[in-house]
Amino acid sequence: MDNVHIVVLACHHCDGEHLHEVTYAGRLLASTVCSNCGHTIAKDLPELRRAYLNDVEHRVRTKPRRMLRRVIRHPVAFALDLPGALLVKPAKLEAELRVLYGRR
Amino acid sequence: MTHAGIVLAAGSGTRVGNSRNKVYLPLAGRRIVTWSLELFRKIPGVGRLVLVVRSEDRELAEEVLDRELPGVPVDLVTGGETRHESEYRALLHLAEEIRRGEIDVVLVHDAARPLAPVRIVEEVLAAAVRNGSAIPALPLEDVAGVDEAGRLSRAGRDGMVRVQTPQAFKSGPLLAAYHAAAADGFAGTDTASCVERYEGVAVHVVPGDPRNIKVTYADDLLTAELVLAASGYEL
Repeated sequence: MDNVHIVVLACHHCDGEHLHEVTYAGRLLASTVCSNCGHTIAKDLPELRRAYLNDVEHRVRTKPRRMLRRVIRHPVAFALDLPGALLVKPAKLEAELRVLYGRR
Repeated sequence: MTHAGIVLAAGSGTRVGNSRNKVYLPLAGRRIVTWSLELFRKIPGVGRLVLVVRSEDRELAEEVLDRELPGVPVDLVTGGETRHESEYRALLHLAEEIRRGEIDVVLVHDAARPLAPVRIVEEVLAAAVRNGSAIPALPLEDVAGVDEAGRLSRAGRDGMVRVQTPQAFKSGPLLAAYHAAAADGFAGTDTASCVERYEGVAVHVVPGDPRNIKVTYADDLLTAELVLAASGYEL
């Protein structure tokens, strides 16, 4: 999953529906920013970092099971996608860490 | 005989430029729409699942289903311009099974309500089996009326409710109501309004749940994640 999504949501601050940038740290919501008024809702960073570490632990623990499931269901696609997935992993991790340690 | 669950994801919010339909936003590791479908999966009597999508979201929906609900049979139906039209298309998709008497109750749910508790589904389903139809609703406690002189008035507020989903209906009358509405060119605001109008079925109300929010505002996302975390889902 990408860590920044652009969606239309309603804004309590300026009313009406506007584009929002929704940012994630891994699987956790980090912040939302309204493109119309700039209103930002962001999680407390120390709390987000703690939750992120717990989540990473969970992701690592469940990764073998998730990979196995994908191998069984789509062996060819899995084999073809694996090199690409491995290549982009560092960049994904870096993007997550940037959210946690250098609020984008 | 089984029950069918229809999840509406075709009209969830406005879309601008390259923005995404909000029901495909991740929430606690899965997409919002996945949580909404998962709700029906937890109900043993629901044997048919239909997801109504926008045509431009079909590929994304297929990918999400494959990843997040592997092995779960979910039929994809392309929705229409309005909620009513999307519901009708989903019903037409099930029409043959309904005519053959294979589907008893149809549950209709907004994809943008990922937190609906299982208790609500069980109660609307049981009430629809008994009475023909049921919707969840919450009493409106924080609204006030104003009379013509601009004074606070209690008139007309008693018994008003805030309607939620999933809503449940006996499949035969539901399909008949939508056929009749199509012939008339009528488009109801929700499923219940169409059934009431054309089938004269009294719609029963079961208690809703304040946690069953519709993701509309940006802060609803954070609330939804908190509720999922509190309910024991591992984030």
